[in-house]
Amino acid sequence: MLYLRADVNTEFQIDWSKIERPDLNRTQVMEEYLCASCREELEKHPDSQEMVDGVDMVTGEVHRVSLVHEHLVICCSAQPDYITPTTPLSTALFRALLATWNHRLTPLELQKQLGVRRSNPEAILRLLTRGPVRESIIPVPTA
Amino acid sequence: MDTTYKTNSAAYWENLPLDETDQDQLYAFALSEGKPCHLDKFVHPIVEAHCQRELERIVALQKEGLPYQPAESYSVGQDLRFAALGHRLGTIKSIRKGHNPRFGPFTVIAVELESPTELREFVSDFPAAHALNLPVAPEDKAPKVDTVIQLYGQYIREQVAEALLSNQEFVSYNGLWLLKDLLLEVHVGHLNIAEAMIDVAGAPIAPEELLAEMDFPEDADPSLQAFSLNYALTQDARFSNTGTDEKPLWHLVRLLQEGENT
Ligand SMILES: [Zn+2]
Repeated sequence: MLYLRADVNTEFQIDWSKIERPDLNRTQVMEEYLCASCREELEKHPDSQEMVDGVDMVTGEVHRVSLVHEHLVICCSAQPDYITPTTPLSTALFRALLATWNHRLTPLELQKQLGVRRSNPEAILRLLTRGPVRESIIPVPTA
Repeated sequence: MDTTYKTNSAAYWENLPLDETDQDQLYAFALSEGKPCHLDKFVHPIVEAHCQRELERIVALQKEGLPYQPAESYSVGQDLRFAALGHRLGTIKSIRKGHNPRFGPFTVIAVELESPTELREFVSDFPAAHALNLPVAPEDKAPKVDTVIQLYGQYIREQVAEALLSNQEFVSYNGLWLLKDLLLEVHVGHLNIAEAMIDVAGAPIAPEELLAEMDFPEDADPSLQAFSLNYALTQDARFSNTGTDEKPLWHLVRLLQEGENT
């Protein structure tokens, strides 16, 4: 595997291995971002970690994710308070990746997710590549 | 592979590559019309032919792989084209049952996509509404000939004019173009009649009047008769047009010179 020098067309994704601990799994992390109605619905569900086939309503692609992640993508990420103008940029990028199944996005695509008025691809690239790894977002290695 | 219509872009029409096929098209059109035509009339068949060629190219491309639609049922080994992924091609490698309480029963196809090669999964037999299910006929997105002419006619006209000018098969008079082979024969006798008529009148004469005394085939289109006569008179040094290109009035150079000398 190669890590190429990153640019605005380099794909990034969340590396869960940098977040998960014996006492904290990804589903618990994502539960924090659920909207009130999904939270209520999933609290009644016997297993919110149940894996489902999340369906991308634009491409038809299937993403094998937890029920929580599926709700986050389909419902909660569309709520106005999911990413707001005051959400710190690194947090906003983390949420934008979750909202797109954590498939992989380039700084150009991430900026589109955040809205054109928010930041710019170069600033996003700088944030993701300089200094400490932000919100466990790393470049996707090329094969 | 790109399956967008090049004929939708200004760049295509601004740099229209008029090749031998186009020249053949111009010839065929002129032949079928059988009479002199304004430059504008040649633009339509050229645009139509280019749009048709582009449609055929796109249809051929799409035949390489069916467009993927979530509602469809598929089998292993089928080739599909994924519109939402830049029209990438892929081959179905396996099929499994899907699971998501949000939707009814559906299946999941594992597809090996080309360029770059990677395995990704997609829904099939999908019961819910999905944007990709809307069938888009190739011609639906193809531009209409009249729209192209409206938007880019100016560029196309210039290039068609160049093509006609460089084509030895065509002659032009007053912005009209005709195949040389379609010119009515204007022989020496005709030209002598014209000369005599003007001589007797002692004044310039309109081509319609001259034509009345000539034995052109009766079924020949009047515009073809006028074009042939006007063109022949421009080629004969005895005659001079003292009217305009639109309304010619033919005079004799000799009489004009005599007039100047008296
Ligand atoms: Zn929600």
